[in-house]
Amino acid sequence: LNQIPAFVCLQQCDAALNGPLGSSKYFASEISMPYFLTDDTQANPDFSDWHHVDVPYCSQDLHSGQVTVPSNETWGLYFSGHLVFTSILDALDATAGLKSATEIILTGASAGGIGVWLNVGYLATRYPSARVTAVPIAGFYYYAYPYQGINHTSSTLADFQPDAWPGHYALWSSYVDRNCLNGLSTAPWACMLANYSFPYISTPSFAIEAQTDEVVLTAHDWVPADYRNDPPEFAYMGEWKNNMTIALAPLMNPANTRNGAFNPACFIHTSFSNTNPLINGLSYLDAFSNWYFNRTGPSGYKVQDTCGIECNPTCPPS
Amino acid sequence: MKPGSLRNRAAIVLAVAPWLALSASVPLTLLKNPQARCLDGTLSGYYHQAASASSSSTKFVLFLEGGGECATQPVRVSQLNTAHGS
Repeated sequence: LNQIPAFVCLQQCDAALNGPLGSSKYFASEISMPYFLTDDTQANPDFSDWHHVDVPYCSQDLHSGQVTVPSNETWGLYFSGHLVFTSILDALDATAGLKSATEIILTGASAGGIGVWLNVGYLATRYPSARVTAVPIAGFYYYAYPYQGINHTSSTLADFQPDAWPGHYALWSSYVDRNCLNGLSTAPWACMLANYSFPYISTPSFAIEAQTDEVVLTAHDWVPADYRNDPPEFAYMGEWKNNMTIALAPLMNPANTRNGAFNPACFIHTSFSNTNPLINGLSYLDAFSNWYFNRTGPSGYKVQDTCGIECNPTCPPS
Repeated sequence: MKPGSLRNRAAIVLAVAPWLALSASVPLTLLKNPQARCLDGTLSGYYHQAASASSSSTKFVLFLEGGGECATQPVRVSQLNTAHGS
């Protein structure tokens, strides 16, 4: 549910069309809720009795698309992720009282984490009397500048280099944060990525992000996982980690209580649980809850390893 | 869905995350809005578990699933059935 399936390959679109990532024909009839949407009170003491809503991903557009009429330009496909999201809100308004919500947390992982950054401004505007919060997991991306040294691989997911984004933005008819769109109107596709949209997003947010993201590094940035400890790959991962550290610096600033972050020195993508990784004994959920409920000062919710590369002893296996 | 895949999924969940075994199964609701479509044109849906305490009846956590992206022309798009609905 939270991992990119193993069958994802160069033909991501084909694979998606033959499974739940592109067609509701293959949706599970029932699921267990992920992360802090579980109703297990021991594993999830703070949010287990809330409404829990899981949004499947079958649009392949980072939950951003607004295609209503497929065309030759979209290869006959619908990229309607933002419209799916707003339709779910409509349904929950009608059936679950979402219209009267006092608190709404929007979380998501991987492509869903990117979707959190894209859609949370819409959500906050739509529900002005609710406390709205963004909790993206493995969703803080920047333009890809792939590793080009010895043993480099190639993209197994979409091309995320700068020149590719205008095309993705047009293909999907993407919805992006409205403040970002106004601010970056000459390059609106940059608003697809949190590194560029973050300064424009006014909703409070808590980012959960590995210091070396396994899927971004191997599937978008051409790093061969098996050789990642060789000097050239290791140096690239160090630069990648530095970029992520710089990107998260505003969230880590102790004077800024509007944001928090959980940023372990692990080579993982979305593998965050109550048991690992831990930073200073805190899980991602401990740190998020500390921030959300104002239980601690910044040291309890702005947690970031400083040991180097892949050196957190509690990292789950990658 | 095939019963076997649910069993497999449950087995995987139990193997990697035993505490999840305590969680309830939440059923799928398909959408009716004709604009709420998956890549292939089938109507999408969501899983909703209602709040279990009245004190939380106005509190919501929404989760967006992940799974890559489609940005290159599918090889077999000509075989795609683009009929509306599933």
